[in-house]
Amino acid sequence: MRYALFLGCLIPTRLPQIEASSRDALSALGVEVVETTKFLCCPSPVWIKPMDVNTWLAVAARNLCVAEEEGLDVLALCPGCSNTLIEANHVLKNDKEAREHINEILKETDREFRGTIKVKHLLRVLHEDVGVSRIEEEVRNPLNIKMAPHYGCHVLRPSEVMRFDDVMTPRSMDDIIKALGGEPVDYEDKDLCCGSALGTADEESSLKIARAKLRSISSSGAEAISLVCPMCFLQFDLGQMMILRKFRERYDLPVFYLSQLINLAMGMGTDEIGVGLHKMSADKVFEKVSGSR
Amino acid sequence: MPKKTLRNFAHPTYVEKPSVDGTLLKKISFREEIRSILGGERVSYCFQCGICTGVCPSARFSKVYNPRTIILRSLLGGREQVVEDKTLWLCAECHSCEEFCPQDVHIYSALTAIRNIATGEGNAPRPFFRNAKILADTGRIASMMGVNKLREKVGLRPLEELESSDVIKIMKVTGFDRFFEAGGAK
Repeated sequence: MRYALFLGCLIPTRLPQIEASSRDALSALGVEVVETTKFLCCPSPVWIKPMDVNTWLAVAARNLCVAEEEGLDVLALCPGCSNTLIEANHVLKNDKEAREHINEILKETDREFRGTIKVKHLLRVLHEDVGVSRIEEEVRNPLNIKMAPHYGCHVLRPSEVMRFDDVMTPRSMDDIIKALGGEPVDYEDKDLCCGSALGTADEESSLKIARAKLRSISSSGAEAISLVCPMCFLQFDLGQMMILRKFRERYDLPVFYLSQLINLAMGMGTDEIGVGLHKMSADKVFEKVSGSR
Repeated sequence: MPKKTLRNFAHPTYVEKPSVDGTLLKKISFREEIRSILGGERVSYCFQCGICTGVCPSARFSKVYNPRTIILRSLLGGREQVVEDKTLWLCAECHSCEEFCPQDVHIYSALTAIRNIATGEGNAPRPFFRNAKILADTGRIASMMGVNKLREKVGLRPLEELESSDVIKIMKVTGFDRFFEAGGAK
């Protein structure tokens, strides 16, 4: 298994613990990643697509061309990136008119979209390529905690294009949590967005969405949140502090990117998975994980 | 410049179409304008059931965002009212509307097309223009302040600067660079 690693913008600059833990988890699970500095911003489905789909599609096509030149499928750690690249790939592969138009633009950059590669998010690579049983084999310290999986939006939707898992009742992250010895719990509004993208235009509503989720996660008995998106991560980790300040409500739920949990279960120490950079303390959870410091 | 296609990806204010004698240009409706943008093609299929608003997290918590009425006004041709509407920018980007729509309107994409038109009128909120400029300048939408110190804490190498000239080249062809000259938002 060999992939071109697409880091995106937010993970390597603000949440390097996600990058580090994903690199560790992938290498331990036998997934080789190839680096390139030629990838630019995907570009963001939240910032650029609403402004100009034409520019959005052309820059995405350019990134796809880079991977095509390397002859590698793309593995993205951020659902925003995978969403942009998968949708652009889908449009350009299936819509001749759009492809011709975009290739005309790409002539300026001496590139041509040919449609020879695939793009996957980390969750899909873990679930489909690595496989749950392989992950289970590597577990040294079973997690032993109740975990609320938050899938976020862009890994699953639009399902017509993403074609991954069941969009209404996704199971992939639940399966992986189970393999790690944790107990995935269902909760109300499991499919609700984290509200992060709304933060710029309407901070209060954005936090209200996160608060609704935190409430139902809390009442489900979950002790931590597992997710696969840097935007969701900030919304729940930093967001809990903002919710405490704004609404005077305390949840104290530690938040983990899925690869951090994999590393923890595979025997890494708590310091090594980078929780020192988190706002929410994970100490309570670590006490329950057998063997961890 | 690439030749103008039937679906006008560059979306100027009105799509121009030659009339029968090939000389006069005709202004088309707002509906046609939305349909001319990638993703907006199916907007006319909306029959106003309102499930988009029912499942919308932004509508549920903000109480002012209503994707159904935005589509209704658009279909009725209220271009000026719609492009000036500040609630356009309250989309949470979750794609739930698209998932539940019984008419398969691709409603998120239609709303995105409408926001594209509003952007063409300079109506995107300021942070959007600011981030687009950062993308053009650096190839990333991120601040590099203190980044390498943070990366060091988890044992990662410093982040390399990116060669972002391709973004500018693309924006020149798509006409996006005009926003930078005009200074962006109103």
